[in-house]
Amino acid sequence: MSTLLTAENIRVEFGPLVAVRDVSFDLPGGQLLGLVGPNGAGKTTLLRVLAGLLAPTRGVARILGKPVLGEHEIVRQHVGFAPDTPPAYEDLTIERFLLFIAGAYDLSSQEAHERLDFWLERLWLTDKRHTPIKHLSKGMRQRVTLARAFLPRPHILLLDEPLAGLDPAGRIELRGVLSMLRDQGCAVIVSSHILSDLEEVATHIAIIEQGRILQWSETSSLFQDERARQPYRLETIDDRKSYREVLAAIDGVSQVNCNGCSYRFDFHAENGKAAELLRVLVEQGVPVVSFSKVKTSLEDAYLRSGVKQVD
Amino acid sequence: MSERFQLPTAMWAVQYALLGGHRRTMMFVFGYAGLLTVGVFIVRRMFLATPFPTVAAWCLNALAGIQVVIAMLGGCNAIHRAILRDFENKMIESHRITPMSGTGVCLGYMFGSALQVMVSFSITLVVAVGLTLAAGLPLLPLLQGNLLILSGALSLWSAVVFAGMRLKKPISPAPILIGVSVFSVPIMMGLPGAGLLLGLYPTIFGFSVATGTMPIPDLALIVVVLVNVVFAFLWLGAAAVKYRRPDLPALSGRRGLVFLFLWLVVATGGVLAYEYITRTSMRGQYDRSTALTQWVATIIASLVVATVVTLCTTQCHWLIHQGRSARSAWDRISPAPFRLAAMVLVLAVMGGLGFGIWKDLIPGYKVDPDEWPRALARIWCVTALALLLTMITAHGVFLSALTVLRVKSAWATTLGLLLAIWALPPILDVVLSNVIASRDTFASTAYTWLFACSAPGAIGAAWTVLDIKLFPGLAVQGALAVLVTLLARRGRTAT
Repeated sequence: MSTLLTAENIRVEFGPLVAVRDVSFDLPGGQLLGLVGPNGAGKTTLLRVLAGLLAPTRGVARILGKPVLGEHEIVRQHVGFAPDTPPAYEDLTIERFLLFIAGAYDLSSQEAHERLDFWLERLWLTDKRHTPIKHLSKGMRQRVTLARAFLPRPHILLLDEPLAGLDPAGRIELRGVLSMLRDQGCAVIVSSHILSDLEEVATHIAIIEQGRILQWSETSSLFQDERARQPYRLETIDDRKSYREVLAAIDGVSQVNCNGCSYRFDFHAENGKAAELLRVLVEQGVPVVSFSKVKTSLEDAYLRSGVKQVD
Repeated sequence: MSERFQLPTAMWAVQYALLGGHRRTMMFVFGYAGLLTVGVFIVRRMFLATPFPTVAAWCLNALAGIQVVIAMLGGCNAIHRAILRDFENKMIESHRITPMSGTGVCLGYMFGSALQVMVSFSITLVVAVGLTLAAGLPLLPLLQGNLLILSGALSLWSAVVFAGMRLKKPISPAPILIGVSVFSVPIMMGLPGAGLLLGLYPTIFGFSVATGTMPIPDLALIVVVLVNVVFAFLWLGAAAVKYRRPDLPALSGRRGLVFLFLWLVVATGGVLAYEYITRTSMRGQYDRSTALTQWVATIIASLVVATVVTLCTTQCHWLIHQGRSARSAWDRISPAPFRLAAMVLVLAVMGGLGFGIWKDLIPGYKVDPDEWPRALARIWCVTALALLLTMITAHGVFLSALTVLRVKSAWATTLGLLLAIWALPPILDVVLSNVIASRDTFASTAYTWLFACSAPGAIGAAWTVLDIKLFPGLAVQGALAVLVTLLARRGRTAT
């Protein structure tokens, strides 16, 4: 797939504050990048630059090879952006609002209605199409914002916290939609705090901290790294200090973390050796209540990336 | 960066829907038309003994007043409210990510949100036309007056759109409009060009023309309407640029020069029109001595406009130098040629008028008519030098504010400092001469060379042939320009 979106040394400064620090990447079609990071890390600022809403202090964002800030009309046909705060005309109904958006993209009446029906159905808004936006719940408004972004069928989608405010069923539905768009060849960037949702749909993960991309990797390789660690959880009847020493002394065990009667540690060995480990623990007098392998998640990778909260 | 123009039908449709759609518009149309008609009938019933044409003329006066209020205050407020609403609900950002052209969006705000205002204007006009015909009064003045009011409104509405796109949070235009109206007489007397620019000429004269108290020649009508339409285009163009790129100044070097040229034409026309209007419409109450004051005020105002243009090019060039993408190749050009072009433009456009006013008003005892060519050459040299040095100083101060002072608002800082540089020497000169005069009764309170250390002071002194030495003042201006340029260069190198 050819590159649809390019960031070249993007830097954004607000006075003395550097919100985005020299970020560069290419995003071809068919890829979904999950942008994760603490609050104030620069995710929204970066997305606003890529959408052409904010001029970077330095650097260029390109859509299909053309600068976002230069070739407005051509570029904007191809970008869909859903900001974290849904903009809308409160007094209009969902249908009227989305038809206005379709008009803004110069869609014919028939095309606009077809797409409107499709997205209202897909985002479970059909029943509410004649409801004024001011009467909608937060989650419903979020769906309207998403419908607004998807309606023009853009090649590039930039979604800022699209899962926030959605109920579990809505999140599942949106994951399906995102997978569909990714598979259709769209380049998608999703900024989210709900990492479990990104695990399923993102092809790549970028961890951003203090405006800098700390880690950029394929989601599958990130999980491979995590799985290689083989984290385990152990629970005991009481919380004697000696248990931790016993654990740490066993060959292959590392990164022992203790929280009361609960222990979490990495065990670098083949799967069959886990039973051996349990046997050794019992033999050494550790009163085991439960012993299990921990399922690796994106959250583990995120926490292990060394990302710091921004004050 | 050229955008394909398209009719903003989507914007118009949504603004119309937000105003309540067909239902509310129809209710408004019938309600307002009914109200006006009933009002006219009540007035007629109250003054049955008075001849109908007289009563009709009273009603027409009131309708002309309503037209001014609707077009100016009503239109500006409707547009302002629409832009403010979109800033608050962030819909302006939603528009920005659509392929709608900047001009289209601005036109959408202008004519979409002012739709009810335009409807009320049309209804009032229809009622006024009906009343005029029924009373057997001449129709032409009414139509001419309304055309003038509408042209002034167009220019003001587009200025409100520009202000809305330029500011982080749009401010209400009502206090500004009321303030300008209150000070309309001094503004028009001191700076007639500003009267045209601020829509005062068309508004005030539109009212007078519509009520039949002031006839307007066809040529003057066409010129005033054309000027306002051109300014409407200019403001809209600037608003469209700012809508797309809020980070860059609205005026690129090219647009800046066009704006300066238009201002110079309007300013020159303003001085000329003032004499024409007062001679033809105010029954010869024109005081010729005001022309020199107007001329000096106009050329100083042109200095301010040229400075704003040069600051725009400086900011643009600086941002491009910092790595921002340019809108067009014009953004990349260094500000120096624009400064020179601005100076040449001011002198070229205003040259003939300046000479005309000067030779008529400077009495022979001040300058021997045989010496006029030499004296005028000296005056033009001083004006050119003061213009150029001011623009160089403004450039240096702006860059220093960005790189050395590192202030957040470089524009406000620069304009504040420039105001101080312009105002302090004359104030100091006046204070010093008064202090000396208070100690020594026989000492002169005349201006000194200190007065010419300020660019407006030097220009004013040169044109009014004040008996002071101009070149020491110009030397001080030159030294200041060199100083701030060096400071700016140092700051730029450091960053």
